[in-house]
Amino acid sequence: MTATTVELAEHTLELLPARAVWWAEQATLLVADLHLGKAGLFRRAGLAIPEGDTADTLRRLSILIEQFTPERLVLLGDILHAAPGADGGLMRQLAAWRSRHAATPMLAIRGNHDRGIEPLAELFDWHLEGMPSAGLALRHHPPRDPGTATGPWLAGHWHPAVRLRGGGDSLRLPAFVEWPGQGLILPAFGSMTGAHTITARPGQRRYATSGERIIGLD
Amino acid sequence: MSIEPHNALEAWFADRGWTPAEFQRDAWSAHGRGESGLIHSATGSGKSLAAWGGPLLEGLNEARNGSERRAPGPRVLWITPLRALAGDTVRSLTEAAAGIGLDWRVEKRTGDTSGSARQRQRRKPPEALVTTPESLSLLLSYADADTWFRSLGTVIVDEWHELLGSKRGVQLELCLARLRRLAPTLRTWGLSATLGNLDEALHCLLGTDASGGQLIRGAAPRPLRIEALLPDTDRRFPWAGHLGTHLMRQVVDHLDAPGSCLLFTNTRAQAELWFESLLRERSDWLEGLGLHHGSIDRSLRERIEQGLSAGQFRCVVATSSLDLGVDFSPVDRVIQIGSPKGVARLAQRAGRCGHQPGGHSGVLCVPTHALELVEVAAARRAWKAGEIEARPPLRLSLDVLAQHLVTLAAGGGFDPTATLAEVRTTHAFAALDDTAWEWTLAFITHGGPVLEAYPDFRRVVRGEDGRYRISDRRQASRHRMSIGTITSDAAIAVRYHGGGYIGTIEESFIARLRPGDVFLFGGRSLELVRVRDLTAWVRRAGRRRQAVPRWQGGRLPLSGTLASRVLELLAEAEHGHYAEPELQALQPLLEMQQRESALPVPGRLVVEHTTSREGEHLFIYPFAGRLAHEGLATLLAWRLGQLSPATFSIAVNDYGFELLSSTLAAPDEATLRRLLRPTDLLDDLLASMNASELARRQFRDIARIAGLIFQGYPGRGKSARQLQASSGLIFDTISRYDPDNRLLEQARREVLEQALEVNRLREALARIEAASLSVHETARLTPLAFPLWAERLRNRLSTQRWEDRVARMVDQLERAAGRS
Repeated sequence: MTATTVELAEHTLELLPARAVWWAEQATLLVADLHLGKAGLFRRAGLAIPEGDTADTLRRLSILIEQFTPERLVLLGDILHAAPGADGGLMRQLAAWRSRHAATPMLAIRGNHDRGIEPLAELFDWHLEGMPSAGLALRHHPPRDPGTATGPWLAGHWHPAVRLRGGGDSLRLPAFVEWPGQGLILPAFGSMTGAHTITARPGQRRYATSGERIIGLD
Repeated sequence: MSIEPHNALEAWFADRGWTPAEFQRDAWSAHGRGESGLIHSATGSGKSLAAWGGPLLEGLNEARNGSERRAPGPRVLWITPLRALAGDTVRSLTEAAAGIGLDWRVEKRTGDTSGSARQRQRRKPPEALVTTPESLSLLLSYADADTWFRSLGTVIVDEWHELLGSKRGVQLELCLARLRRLAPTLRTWGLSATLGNLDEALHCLLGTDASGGQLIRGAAPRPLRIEALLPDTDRRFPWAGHLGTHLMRQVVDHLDAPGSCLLFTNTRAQAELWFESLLRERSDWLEGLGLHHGSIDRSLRERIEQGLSAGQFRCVVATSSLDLGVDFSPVDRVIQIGSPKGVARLAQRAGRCGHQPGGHSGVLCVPTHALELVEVAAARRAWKAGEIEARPPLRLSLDVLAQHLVTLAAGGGFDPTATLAEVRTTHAFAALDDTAWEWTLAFITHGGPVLEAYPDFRRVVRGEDGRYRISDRRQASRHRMSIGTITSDAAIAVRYHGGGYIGTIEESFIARLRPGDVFLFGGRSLELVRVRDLTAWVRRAGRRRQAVPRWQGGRLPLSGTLASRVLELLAEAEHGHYAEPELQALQPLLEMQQRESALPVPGRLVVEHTTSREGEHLFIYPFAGRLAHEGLATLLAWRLGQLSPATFSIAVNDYGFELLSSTLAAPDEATLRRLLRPTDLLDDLLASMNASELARRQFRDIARIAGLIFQGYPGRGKSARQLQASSGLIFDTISRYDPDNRLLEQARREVLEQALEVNRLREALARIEAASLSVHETARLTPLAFPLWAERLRNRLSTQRWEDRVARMVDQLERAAGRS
């Protein structure tokens, strides 16, 4: 199967069906919106949501790290769903996972959900919005108007998805959204994340992922 | 009982020129004897006074004997299904109490009651409290509930038929069981319209503990005139259609006569279109036209209801939102657009006109296509024979039980053994087994067996004494906010961009629109500006309307009662008996159906096969209602697909269904019988439907009721955003990490029972098994086939893999792109 790639500022980025981006020349793996600890937060608020999302998200990320052995992992914001303060279990889980991949440098952009991250200061190399990297800006929030000349950038935050219809059938799939030459938004990587349906618009390209392959739509 | 109070009540009746009816006296004396019961009769026949008289007489007795010194708390609770009814109820109950010289305070307690009024009610409870099931549940969630309700003597449930068969009804059953425990001598009285299962309705109301209970039949129903608007002889009646606006001219003529009129439609979309068309036809009526449906802001609806009472309207276009007993003075005429769907509903709508004694109730039915004429005649037949639909009550709704248990935990806590016994006295949970009970307890304490290992979940805790109590005040207040949620659909507010609330609309409709799209709502053309924070911001649109919201719930299936009468009429037609005017008008059409194929009659299943440019069509007419047909069609397509892989296009209506495929030879009788066999029904059905997708949708209500969806904390705005998740995401998460969660099973069961009417489907298959098959190869579409062919909502069924479905859709997208 041929890889689906997009070109951004003369860099080639491969879109992975596992909802991640592989930037081969920089040996960098990128994901966005993990929202770790979400089910736990819901439970503390009295909503009976079973655990499993955090472990599943980290497990899938481990698989990617082992598959690509990146020199650097970039997390494009919203690593946590909420301040981990009361969730000791989450901190232990995360620390154990980090030590398993101790050899891989991990860079994190701070997202709007990443509050009270002091306990995580040691685990990731935290940066603010727009951190430059080989000519690309690493962001959590996409620019206000992604279609205009703002690029080149990579971002998350939107949790994009697309709805495919045909013959009375309909499916909703996570998606990448590209503004050619300007920027790329990654789908949410977390296992318990909602999604926002993106409709077709001029100047933008959507790539759905079925988990097994990438489907270019526009 | 002394004679005097009776005299006072009789005198009050006499003052108003009335005499108590026998059923009213019966109800009063039964109440006096300490009995409970259910009073059923038509709207406006004095049911309320039949129920209210008992407590009044008792109050008067006690007042005269000076025997009355009670603990604080109301003595009568009046439950109404709609808060809009509460105000009128308070007024009429107060009037009767004052009229017989009883100094009682009657107050309402609903979601609209102010905080200060609530405080006053707690300190100084009124003698009678008018409230809704949700507000009653809320009252039970306060710590002093057991002392407050101890002196309760009577609870009266108004419009019980409206609650029966819904989760609100289940919620009320549980609350009533609680009240009976708190006040052991409590009498329970229900008021209901006539139903096919009155005994069951009584049983649900009183619970399994109560012995007997009176079923009191009210005044005999007034004669009811059911007529159809027959098409002009020179005009061809459409074979298919869904709006009926082709009869606009005749309807307008009908409305031109003096007097007021209610025009009922089956769907809100239809109501919007009729309202708009009437305005276009007669702009001079602008002031005298009203629109009333459930999505329109309540204050606007109330204004229309008051206007109706005051006779300010010539015509109000309404949906089932006006089916309830809102007590406005009767109108002069009632019109029903489209199929009546059920006898009970048509009779209730017709009851809106001519309340004066001896007056006729009547309804003019406007068929939207030819065959609906038969339904009108069938409704008349069924009504005359006294046949009316049943409303099957729900059972074992664990989401409602979970909510109720948290309510009890918040209100002083509960003892599990006593509460299980109490819960089992309800009809809904009489068959609750120990494991389901344990699961529900586990669900509210640690989130279910799977979550036991996670101490971070706290909602209800079990104390040292074995009682279950809410974990903290914040949980209690959050739970109270969620109690009122059983009714609401996933609705979002519609507001003008500059402010101003218009109403609520289903999220699924708005989700299909983009900013700039224009839609018709509340009789106005609106342009969507944006959707944010569960609000659709709109502005008035200059352009003409485009989309009309399609609300769910408008597509009720034809009732079984009506369907069997339709078949009976068709059987008469087959023998050349055209007794009813509607059938006479249809004679040429029915004869054509008979000539080209056959008429469906009891004991015969008609199957038609025909070939067109579109492919090969198979039409089958079981007359089991559209929901069961949807299941049947999918089942048949799936079983056909097992024989040789194919893709089918499916269309259904209340009479039958169509399968369309590129290759679909007419099946012989043996094959047909095998395809329509009743065995393996559930397995095949679940395999054929996208069952998990349906269950995921059904989970919406369950998640909300069971407290899996965050409803917000009082006074905490957006900081709670990180707790927002869609019910779909919650469904996926639970399916993945807690697949044995009983709420998932309940969602699947609800899909089968409600969305697919699996019981009716099963009955239909049993009937088909016993019926003769009449298979016809037709040269063209028959009158029965045509409306199915014209049905625009088609489903597709395919046995292809998910990945292939994606590929196929992508393929179609690419082809579409290539064309443009």
